[in-house]
Amino acid sequence: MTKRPPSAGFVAAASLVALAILAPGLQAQDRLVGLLVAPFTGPNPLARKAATVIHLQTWQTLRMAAAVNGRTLNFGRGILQWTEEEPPTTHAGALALLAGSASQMTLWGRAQEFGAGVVVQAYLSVADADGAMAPGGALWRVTPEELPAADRSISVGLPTTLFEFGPIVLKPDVIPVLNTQVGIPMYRDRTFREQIGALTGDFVALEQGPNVARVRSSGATEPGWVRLPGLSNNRSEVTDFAGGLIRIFRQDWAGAIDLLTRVVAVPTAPAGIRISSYQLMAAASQRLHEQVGTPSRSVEFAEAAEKLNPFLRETVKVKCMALLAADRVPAVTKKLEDTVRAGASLFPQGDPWLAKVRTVLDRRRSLVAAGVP
Amino acid sequence: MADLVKIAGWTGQTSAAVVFVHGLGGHAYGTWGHPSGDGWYWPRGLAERVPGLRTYVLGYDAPPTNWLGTAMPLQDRATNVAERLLGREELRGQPLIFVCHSLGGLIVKQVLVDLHEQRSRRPEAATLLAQVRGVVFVATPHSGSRSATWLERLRLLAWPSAIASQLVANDPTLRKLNVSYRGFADDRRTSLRHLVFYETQGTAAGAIVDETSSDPGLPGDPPIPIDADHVSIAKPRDGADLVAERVQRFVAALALPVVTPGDYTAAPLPDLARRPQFWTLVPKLVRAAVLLLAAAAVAVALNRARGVQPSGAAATPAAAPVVSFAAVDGAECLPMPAGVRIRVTVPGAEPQEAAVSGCEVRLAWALDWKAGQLAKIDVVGAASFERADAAKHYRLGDARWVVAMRPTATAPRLLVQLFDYASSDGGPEQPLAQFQTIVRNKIQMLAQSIALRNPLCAYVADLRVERTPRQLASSPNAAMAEWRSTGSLLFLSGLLFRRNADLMVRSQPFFGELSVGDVSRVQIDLRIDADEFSQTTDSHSLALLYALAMDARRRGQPNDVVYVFLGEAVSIAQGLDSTVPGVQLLKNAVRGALEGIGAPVPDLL
Repeated sequence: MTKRPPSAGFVAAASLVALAILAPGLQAQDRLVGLLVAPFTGPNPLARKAATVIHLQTWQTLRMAAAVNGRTLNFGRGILQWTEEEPPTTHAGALALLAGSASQMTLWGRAQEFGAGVVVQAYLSVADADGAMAPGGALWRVTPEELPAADRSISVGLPTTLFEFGPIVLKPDVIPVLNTQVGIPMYRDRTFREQIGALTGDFVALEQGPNVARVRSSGATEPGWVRLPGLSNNRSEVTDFAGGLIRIFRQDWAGAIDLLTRVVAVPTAPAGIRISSYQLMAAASQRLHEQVGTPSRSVEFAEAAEKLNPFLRETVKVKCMALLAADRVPAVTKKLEDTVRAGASLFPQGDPWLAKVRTVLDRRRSLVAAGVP
Repeated sequence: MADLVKIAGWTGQTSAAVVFVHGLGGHAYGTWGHPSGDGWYWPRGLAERVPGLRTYVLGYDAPPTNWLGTAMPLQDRATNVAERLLGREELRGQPLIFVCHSLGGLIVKQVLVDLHEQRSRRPEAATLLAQVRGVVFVATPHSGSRSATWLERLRLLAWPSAIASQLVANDPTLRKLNVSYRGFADDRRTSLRHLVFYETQGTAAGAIVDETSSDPGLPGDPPIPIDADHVSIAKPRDGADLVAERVQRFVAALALPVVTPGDYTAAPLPDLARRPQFWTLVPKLVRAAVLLLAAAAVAVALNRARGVQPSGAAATPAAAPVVSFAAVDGAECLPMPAGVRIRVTVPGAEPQEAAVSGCEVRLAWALDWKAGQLAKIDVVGAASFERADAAKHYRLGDARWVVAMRPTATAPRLLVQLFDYASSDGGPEQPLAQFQTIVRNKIQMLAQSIALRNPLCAYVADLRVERTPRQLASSPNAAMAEWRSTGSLLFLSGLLFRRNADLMVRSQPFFGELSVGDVSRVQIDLRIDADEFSQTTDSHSLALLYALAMDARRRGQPNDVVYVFLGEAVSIAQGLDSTVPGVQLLKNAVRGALEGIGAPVPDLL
């Protein structure tokens, strides 16, 4: 395996991968959503290969979901990039790698030996904190008519810019496979009979299949197929969550819900990741509702997040957003009042975001008092 | 050679045997009272009060200085004592309990550790070891004695004996013995009990064994302070004396029940006095002569030096001092956070600044400083610490200026100290290093994550995790003093040990004044295993979040800041297995903290 020293340019190599398939859009937009994957720190070559496998597995999530998306939508392009820069060890370092690249997110991490095993800990750092790529400059925005026209917007962005995934405990049988100095074997075709080289250094993913990928690598003279081994005995949420976030940025709301639903079903996923997934699903569901008219499940998702942890300010915010976006019926208003009352102590004194929601509630109360339906 | 002398017993069934082991400079009989006088004599009084009990005293040579005789090193003495115990048939077949004064406790610890190591190849060692049910430590210097340190510093004159030299405070041999014994005691935790007493008064020579050193750091009841000095603590006035009374209860609880103890009898005491050997005077006379010559040479040199010093000469330029930072009531070396500088102002010269590295600054300016002048020091950039002696000036000519610091009351505590974890069998080190790296990485990432999401808690981004390359003081009071003085948020210390085939780590978070209720007793037992990675990182995250929340409360932060930490804790707690020892206590602590700020706590914890 060759390892290039950090180059003057920021993202050295990279393999532009797969262009996720464009929906049959009528208007072409050049929105490019990228995930940069950095080699993991830790014992090499194991750490580097684990990152390679996760890279290719995440790339497979770029396949567009067969879902209820509008037929006239354009989801832009989704790409995965690989960098040969020095692996980051902090969130700031991960974000610094994005400078000059086409990506908005970095998937990074470390492999760590613990006892007789090896554990991979992955993180996702996002530069686009408030979801500004989405139309309107925020992940989710509501405009309650109870607010003055000049300041009618209430919005939320991403739950966080640093996501920490559950540890991936590598299967004992996969450790020796990843720990050899030889790169991941590449084969001429999907029969995996004839090895033509090894996946080393920079690579470009070209084609995908179930647990396999076709790549071009500097370690082989021609493109070849690699097997993507299951890293752990337990399902990991890393690839589905990263893929889900790419879909959120691509405004593929149905596709995002599809992948994030898989995340919340992973029993070993940290509660924090499951809560973030529900929050993103709540936003996606409402956006999908607005675009194609499917019933919104925002309140359901927001309440699922709240059930997991009612002591997070972001959870309260998302539930408020879902209720503000819902039909203005007395039951919803009552639920919004209860949510604000229960969660108020999580907000700083005089918090402007909460103040706006309270204004909406005050206005609704006064309208009800005035007999306005 | 060690002597084992029977003091008292009963004519019928035997319930237990107690061996009294004296300490440095002690005597087989005299350490425990007055066997020939009218006063109460502990080894007899104890046997009289516990039916079927036999008591013995162990005598051995332990002079503090070679002027008074010679003594074997600790390990050799332990071997010698072990063989003496193994050779006494009458000790077999009954519970065996040791009552140890001072050094005697260290010898018994070494004996038991040695027997533990020999048990697989020496059946008699295993048998004797199985009989040992209790050890009473009376003022035992588990981590050494400052008095012995002074003896060692004055070794030219004091000429400390081999065994006294090993009692130097924090001697590596004692540290290793301490760790080995803790591991042994952990293996025997269901069948071996301990009772610990410590002195609270000084002798004419000052305090001999301080509270910290007298605490062996074993689980169980805390050490008991006694209103006595190092000598009188081993001489109870009567059976109602606290030491005697507690030891009697301790022994009675471990003794076998007897139906026919028979009558109490006191054995005659053989003469243990050694015949003086005059040839041993030779090295003493030679040493005394050398010392006299050396003293004479020093006196001559001093007189000459005085002769060349002109009287009334102007003060000479002083050498630049080393400025060191110390805690008010704790560490002599108090590391300052990165970026801290000092500004030194000397009369008639421009103020000078220098960056602090660790707990020191070495001033190296070419100034014409005059000895005797007073300099002013300002500490710049230490937000979390303040000068405890802000008005103090420092005298030029002194080699070291010590600046006393204390944590700023309103500043957040942002240091997690990872102390050395003890290892019950001296190794292996790699799993422990992996464990500490994992915990450090996790804490740092968690701090970054919280700071990113919550602008009001952005200060947490400055949280540091630092290795402290020594073990945390086993005495809670000493640990508390260090916690107060260092400004740390959390201490992490513990023990690496084996449970069956598993390598385990026992982590003990110390929250200092931030702990409320049972959280001070938290001990998290985790397997060193990849499958336990989540439990390992999450349990320590929970401890950190609790500490951050309680620190925010301590500083009077609004509840929304406290909620940031407790909310995060609730998320993390959900993935934690409450059956892991210590985890439920941590969850309860988070629940208690939530209730403390009036939160309705759902059934998530």
